[in-house]
Amino acid sequence: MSEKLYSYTALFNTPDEIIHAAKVITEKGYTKFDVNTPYPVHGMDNAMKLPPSKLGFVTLFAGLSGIILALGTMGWMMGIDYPNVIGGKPFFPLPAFIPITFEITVLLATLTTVSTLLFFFFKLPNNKHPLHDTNYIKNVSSDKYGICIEAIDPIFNEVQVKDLLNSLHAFVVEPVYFDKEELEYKPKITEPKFVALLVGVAIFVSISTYLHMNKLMYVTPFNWMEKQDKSIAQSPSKYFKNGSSMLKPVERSVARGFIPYQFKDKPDDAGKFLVNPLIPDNDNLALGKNKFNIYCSPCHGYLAEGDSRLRGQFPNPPSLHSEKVRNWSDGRIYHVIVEGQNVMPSYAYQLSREERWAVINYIRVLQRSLNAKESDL
Amino acid sequence: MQDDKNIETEINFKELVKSPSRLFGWIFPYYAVLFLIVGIYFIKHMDVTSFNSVPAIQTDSLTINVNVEPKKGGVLPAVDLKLILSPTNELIEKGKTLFKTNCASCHGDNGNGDGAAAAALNPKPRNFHQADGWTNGRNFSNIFSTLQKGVPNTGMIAYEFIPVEDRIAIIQFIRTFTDFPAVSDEEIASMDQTYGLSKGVISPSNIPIDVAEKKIEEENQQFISKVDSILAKVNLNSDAEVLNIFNNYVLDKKRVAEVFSRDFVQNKDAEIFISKIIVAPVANGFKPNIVELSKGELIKLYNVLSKSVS
Repeated sequence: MSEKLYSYTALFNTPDEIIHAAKVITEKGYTKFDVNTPYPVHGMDNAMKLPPSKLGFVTLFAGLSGIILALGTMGWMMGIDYPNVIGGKPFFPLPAFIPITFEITVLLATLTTVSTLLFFFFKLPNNKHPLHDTNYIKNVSSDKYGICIEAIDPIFNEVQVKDLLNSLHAFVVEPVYFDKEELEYKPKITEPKFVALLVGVAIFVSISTYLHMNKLMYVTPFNWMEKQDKSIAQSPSKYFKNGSSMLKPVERSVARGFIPYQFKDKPDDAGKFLVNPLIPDNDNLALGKNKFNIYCSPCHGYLAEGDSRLRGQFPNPPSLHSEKVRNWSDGRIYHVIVEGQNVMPSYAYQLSREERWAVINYIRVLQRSLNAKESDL
Repeated sequence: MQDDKNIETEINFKELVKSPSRLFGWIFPYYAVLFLIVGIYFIKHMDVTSFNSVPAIQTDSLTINVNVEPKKGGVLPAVDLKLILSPTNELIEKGKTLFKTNCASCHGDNGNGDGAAAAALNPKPRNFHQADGWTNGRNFSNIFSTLQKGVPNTGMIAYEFIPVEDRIAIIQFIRTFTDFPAVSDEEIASMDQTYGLSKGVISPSNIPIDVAEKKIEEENQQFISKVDSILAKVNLNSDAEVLNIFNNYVLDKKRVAEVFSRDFVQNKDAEIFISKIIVAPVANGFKPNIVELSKGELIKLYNVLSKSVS
């Protein structure tokens, strides 16, 4: 027997017969069987003793994921990542989130349910079923009632099943085999048909997109981003009254979290009133060392002795070990980093506030290293 | 039909030799492969094959490990003040070398104020040959004080870190460019008075950087470790009003305790404390709205904090 058996099928004339047959077959302990009727037959579920569908769990899971996803992303973005007061509402305005949450929940639940049905229950990519194009399926889709016991049933025995079906007075009992061609067929990725399909789809999509956008909607389909709907800082704009597209912040306004530097041209006040908020520890000294070596060492040298690597191309930078700098407070050095001094430019844009204080902590380490106390030796 | 040539006869090598230009069609792919191989070899062995004097990969300044050798400091012998009056040739020669390394990049090799780095400077560096326009004057003591303190708001920094004797050598070399005012004994005496030249200079002790790091960390450890006890004492010392302020206007209690205890060692002044809070409340661990508090309330807060720290 070279052909592989898929199932045994039997055809009946009346719905009563098929209900009876289903009951008997269930009692015998068969589980992998199916009943095919031209219309839903009442009582079939009971006769087949079908368990409730598990599809509901998939829907529940997808729906819950939708709720968590929607509330989680919105809550995280609006409440934690970028807390923003909108219309005086709290950072987690639950009522405002409900519509979106509902929609995402329904969307995810339905799409997941449908795709689960298609791909897991109906095994979608497999579009050739052995029952296709058999005498059996032609009959049950018109006026007959059929039952089909699959060969993968654990208690399947060809002779027994045949006898059983005959004993139920089926008027036709016949085996269904897998399509031999289908079984021997090995799909290849380079299958000419498949490649042709891909090419065809590509051509179709690009041409139809082009035609739709250009001929129907009068839009350039793709212009390599030559034209962009944005205003460039220096270009004119009709939107604002003064005709410029770049607007300066309102006078005296302060960006959130940014306090302006109050000691412009007042180095002594900076030295007196600015406190170094970083207590030197491993972390901020490592940060300070890193930033010092990147931004300060090219001029001041790795040991802050003023032995710059740019010597000869650049005016000599001072040593940071002079008595003057050693006696400066942290705030006074901070002032130099923020404002620059003489030839040195401001490093306010290169170093954040924390980094500046960390650099100062590291400078103190270098000063201690080259001007150690008696007790350190 | 006559055009349908047999493929075998298409490649006729005798024909090929007759018109060598056709060879190119065949040679081209080989050249392409050859170029590819040479190119790959060149890129893989760039550091050997290229003639650049600058290495293909620059040393990362972050990977350089510089450290300090431990050294015991001491008092250097006093400077011979006679050198100011009558410089030896050796001294001037030494001054020339020091001038080249320290000053020439801005002031130029001949002191004309035309060094390579001078282009970036405003005001331009001093031309030593000019007699007028010196910010501090051109007496020996004036030049010495310029080296000691620098000239504010110019590229001229303080060269305090150069040993005194070397500084004298540099000045002596500068004085060879043109005529400078003569040095008087009183001038030397007053310089000695101001800078303590004859006392000798203390050379500092050195310790490795990581040791210094550890020392500083240890010294500041007290401020970190005392945080809990300070916060406990704040709770204990303060009445309801201050406790309310502390709970409502403090963003980061730990940072407040750290920063305050560290700062309290240097400054025991309520006024300065208040100014510091108003300057940068968030950096020091307070909420920005602390500026709304009245001065009296802030002083109460200061008193409780200082009581808890000491």
